[in-house]
Amino acid sequence: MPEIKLSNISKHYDEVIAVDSVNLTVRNGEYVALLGPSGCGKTTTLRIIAGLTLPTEGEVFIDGIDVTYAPPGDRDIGFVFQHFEIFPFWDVWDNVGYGPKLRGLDEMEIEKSVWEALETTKLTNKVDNLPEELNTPELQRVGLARALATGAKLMLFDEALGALDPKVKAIFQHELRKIVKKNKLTAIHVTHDQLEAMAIADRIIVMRKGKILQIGKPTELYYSPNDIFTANFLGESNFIEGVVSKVTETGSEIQLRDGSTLRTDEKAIKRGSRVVINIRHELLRLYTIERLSALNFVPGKVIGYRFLGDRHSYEVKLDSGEIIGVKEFARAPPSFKMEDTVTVRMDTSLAVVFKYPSDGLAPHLSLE
Amino acid sequence: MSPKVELKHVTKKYESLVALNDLNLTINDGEYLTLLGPTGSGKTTTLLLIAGLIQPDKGGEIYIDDVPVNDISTENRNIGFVFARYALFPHLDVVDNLIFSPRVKGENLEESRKSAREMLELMVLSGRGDALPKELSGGMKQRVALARTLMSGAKLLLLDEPLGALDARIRMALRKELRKIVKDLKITAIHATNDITEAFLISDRVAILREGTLIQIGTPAEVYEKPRNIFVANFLSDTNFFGGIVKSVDIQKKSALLVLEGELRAKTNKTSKPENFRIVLGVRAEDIQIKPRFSMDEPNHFHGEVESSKFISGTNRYEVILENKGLVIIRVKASKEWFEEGDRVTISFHPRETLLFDYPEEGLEKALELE
Amino acid sequence: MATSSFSEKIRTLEYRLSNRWCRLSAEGVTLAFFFVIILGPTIFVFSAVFLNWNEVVTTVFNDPIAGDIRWQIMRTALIRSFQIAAIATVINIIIGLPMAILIARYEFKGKEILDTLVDLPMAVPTAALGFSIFLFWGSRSGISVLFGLETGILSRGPLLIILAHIAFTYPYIVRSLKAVILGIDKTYEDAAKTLGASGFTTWRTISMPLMKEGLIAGAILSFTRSLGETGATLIVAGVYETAPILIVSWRKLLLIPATAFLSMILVTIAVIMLVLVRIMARKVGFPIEKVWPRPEQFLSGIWQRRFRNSVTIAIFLVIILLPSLFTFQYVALWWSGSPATGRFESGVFYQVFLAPDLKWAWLLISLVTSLQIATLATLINLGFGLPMAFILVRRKWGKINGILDAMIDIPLAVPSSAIGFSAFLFWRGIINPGFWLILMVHIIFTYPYFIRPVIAVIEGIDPGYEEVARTLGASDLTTFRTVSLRLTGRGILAGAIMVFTRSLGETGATIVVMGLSRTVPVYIVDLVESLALPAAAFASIIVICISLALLLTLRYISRSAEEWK
Repeated sequence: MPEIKLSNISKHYDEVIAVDSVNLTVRNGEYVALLGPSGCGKTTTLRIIAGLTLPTEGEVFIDGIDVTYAPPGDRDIGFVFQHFEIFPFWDVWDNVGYGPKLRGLDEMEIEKSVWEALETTKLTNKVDNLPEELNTPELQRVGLARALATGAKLMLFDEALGALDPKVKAIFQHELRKIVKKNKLTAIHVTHDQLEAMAIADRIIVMRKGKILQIGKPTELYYSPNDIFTANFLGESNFIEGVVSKVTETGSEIQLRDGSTLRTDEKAIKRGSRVVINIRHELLRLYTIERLSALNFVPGKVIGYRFLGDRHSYEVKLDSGEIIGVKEFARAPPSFKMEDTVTVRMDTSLAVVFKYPSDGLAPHLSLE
Repeated sequence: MSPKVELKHVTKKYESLVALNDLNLTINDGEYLTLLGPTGSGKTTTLLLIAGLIQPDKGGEIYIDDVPVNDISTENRNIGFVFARYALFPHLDVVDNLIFSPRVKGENLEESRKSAREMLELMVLSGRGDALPKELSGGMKQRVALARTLMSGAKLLLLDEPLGALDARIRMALRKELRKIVKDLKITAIHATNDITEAFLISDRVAILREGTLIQIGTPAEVYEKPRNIFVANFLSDTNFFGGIVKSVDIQKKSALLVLEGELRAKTNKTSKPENFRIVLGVRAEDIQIKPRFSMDEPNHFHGEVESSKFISGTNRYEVILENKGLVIIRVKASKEWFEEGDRVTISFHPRETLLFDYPEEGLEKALELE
Repeated sequence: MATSSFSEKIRTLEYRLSNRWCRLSAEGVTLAFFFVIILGPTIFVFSAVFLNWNEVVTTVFNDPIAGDIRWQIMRTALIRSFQIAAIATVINIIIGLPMAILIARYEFKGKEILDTLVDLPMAVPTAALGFSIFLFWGSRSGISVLFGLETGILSRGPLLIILAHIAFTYPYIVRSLKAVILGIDKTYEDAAKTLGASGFTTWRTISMPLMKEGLIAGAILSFTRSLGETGATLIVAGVYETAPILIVSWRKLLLIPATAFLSMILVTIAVIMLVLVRIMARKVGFPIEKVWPRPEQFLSGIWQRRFRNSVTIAIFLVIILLPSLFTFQYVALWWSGSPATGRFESGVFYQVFLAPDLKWAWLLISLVTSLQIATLATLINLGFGLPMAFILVRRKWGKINGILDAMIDIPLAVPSSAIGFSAFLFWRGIINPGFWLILMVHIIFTYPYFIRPVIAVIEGIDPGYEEVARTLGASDLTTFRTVSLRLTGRGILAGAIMVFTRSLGETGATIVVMGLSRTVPVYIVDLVESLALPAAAFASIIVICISLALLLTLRYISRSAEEWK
């Protein structure tokens, strides 16, 4: 089981810096996701690990061996591409058998590894089909089987589920994770879809503009983001502006623009400083109690409602004019309707307080 | 007034492939309707037919505002179309793309330029008027495509997977904006997508298509609460299905006892089926409670072991292997205590929160097939 | 097991050879072939002229007897060539564009057949084509029969040349325009329609600007092909001399310095034109500012469209197709004797097989020579052109790629008789006129015909396929053999057939370097010049049939390639 280490990796294309001094260790048997918007350098990083792109600077180690300039064929990897690239002139069997054949295995061994890969990916009834006869999910499976059949222990997935319908994708994410875990593989999975990253990975690496912003378990990134971009990119959050009015030993109090006060356990801030409170939609609750003026209760008015199946999603306009989102996991009919006056209870135990950025919020909330 | 659209007996065949099969559909004026379905279900075909870019087979008729439009060419139907890949004219800059429609209709160009600038402001694209399409990011292209369509003044908007080419996170942000714009302008909109959340977030009614056939139409709450068949139930939410038979029916208590595969016993409030009838019981992932193992031998309480436990965006998703080897998917709001892989648990659900279907003739797997 | 270890050995060998040095040396050989064999002769003509400048001056400008008469002749011929090429190109765009639109964007019964018919004149060697057109317009057994005339309605000369040039460049124009139109995403046109543009407005403001570069490239291709044409022109020109013909006749008179000078001028013009296209394609704009909704809507009406399409097809049939294939009618009529006198000895059958000068034997020999040269030229271009195509697409050398890419087209733009003459000078003393020199020349002018379709196919290949192979453990060479070649296969075949057909049909270049050898097109010219029309017609039919078979194969291949995508 391989361990991957990137040391100070950079990639420059003329003026553009695609990857900027990336340091990263992926442990044996770990499934990590490289997450970020288009152009953040995640695919370039993956291609550098695969040897399909050479870095401008830095080294790549697999199992402690410097492979920075080794051709992809010498790295013992499996790579699944976004558009699968199933060789159109071979049937499923020959596609999957190509890797083992290149490794010079004998007929028996080839047959065994191909068959195992096809069983894992549930393709045993498609052996003789040509790619043109398969639908997208099946092609995706062939791509995976072809990578598995090589026997490589390091799997690299480049938006490998990106071409699937959302529903199919949601199902296959869990299957893919199971396959990786069952075969004790190490996997690096590039995606722009935060839900996919959380569903699939042990750890997530958030990238933006060529740099790594944060590495951590899904819950760590979700509840303790290092910066506003990460907080916004994972899940759905409110960003409420305020000013620190009081700092005590147990926490601080923050005055919002409409005058109401939130108490948080954040201590590392100065009184009088401008802050942004990041609080998840589902950590808010609505009450009908009017004008309840207590800590962590903020008055507002319902201006939007959508039914989302397992949850209700409300838009509430605070007196300050700020619009916040509230998500309620419940199967009962909605408790509130448009124009209702409500009080929002903000559970700040999992909220995060950021310093108000000197360049304003907008550039940090930009998703591109 | 924005237009009303009606399709009557519309069929479209391509040689042996039936893209659309006898579709009857009415879209009310000012309504936002989503055509929801997997790849190849006929969503795009429907939009192209309404736009007049393809013609229905004989017998099918399309009406816009009660006027039959079969013989009216696309350019005279006064519709707006947003393409999946935007189709921004690559040789024209943003402003020229926006004023294309006023220009070909012979309208005053100076005025059009002015309203184009206003439109750019509305779309947060000010200062991008001179850019060529290839210089824009995905999100910007999407907004230019929408702006260009709105510039035509059309009151009927057809959107073919308009957010499909965007990164997942931007898509989330833009769908809210899209609904707001359409509603503010009081436009009738028909939107094709394969994304359930998008459909629910954006539209007044959802039409669910499969293999060219309209299966169900209604508000998000209607189709979600009362799915017509197991395909819809499965497509709209993570639903667990158990095959079984009706053991006994208690009319007075309005309940029925079922025996499911693997000798599981379940109770349901849906009692329309006779005894010994072959059924499929559906329970949604979010309707199941999960607790540490406790010994109770009652209907709707099954014992098992957590096979996988995953935190996804404020929820915990579990896969539990039951003692009879069946797999159940459970989704609950994330809380401080959760279960780890290998934990022994008992799962349960309320008789009210169940779905009861006839056992499909073609078999369970076939009935659930997504593509 | 034996086979397994054999393929294992190949893979190991490929692995060893997949290093930087082997690749660089392979690339070196490929580039050397291109610069020495393909470009060398064309460039050499410059040094030949400048080294013998004095001699050029005396023969061209200052001949002791003739004065500057040769300069006068040369200037006249050049001007004529340009006039003819310009007229033919303009007419071709006017009648070819609607045809390209018709084939690319309309669905109708018989579309496949029409598409094949449009390509037909390409399969006909120009000498045979010229002859056929002469029979149709210029002989008394042609169209004049309809009017009851005793002679042809057109005599040999400029008009007939223009008609011949229109006929043989027509398929090139329609083909390239068709490809360009098919390359435009139809969604752009759909989008324009949903925004309220009528069909005509859509074409003028969206499709035309998008196909601009293709349109200009197609026009230039047609222009240069017309400018350099020899075979057909020789037959229909009479005493009228164009520049390529002048090269042929001066070469025959052994006026070497003068011919070199003329060749140099043609090469220079070709290069300037290639550069111009690349600059112009970017600069030229289309007027899209103004729109006239009503008249344009009128023009888009269904009846107007039907009328336009019918006229397009009618023009094609009368101007292009019928004249090109008229030889068949002639041969059928004259097979067993003259239709006028009934004399058996005047008939095709007697003339070819029974006449004492054994024309069938000469035909057979020239046919064998033609096929040998075409085969060898195809194989050699396959060997050296394929790596070149890969280098051009896959190597990222920045500007150098662009320059190399433009250089590929030089043999396409230079009149083939000028290429022939340049090669004659270049190889003088090493390869004497005859079979091998013909082969060298054929390699040169068919080179771009092979490389272009192959490049197009390689550019269409998703590099992902090769990357997959590499991540699966294949070395660069193994990837090339097992994946890249498989994916280019049909492009290669298409290119090969193009080369073969072009080689089979070439006249101008061959005449200049042939010595005592004969290819079929040259033999046809000989026959026409000696007024043995029935035999010429028969020879024409033979080459047309071979080329036709090849063309149909080509179409079959490219069609199944489309299905594959």
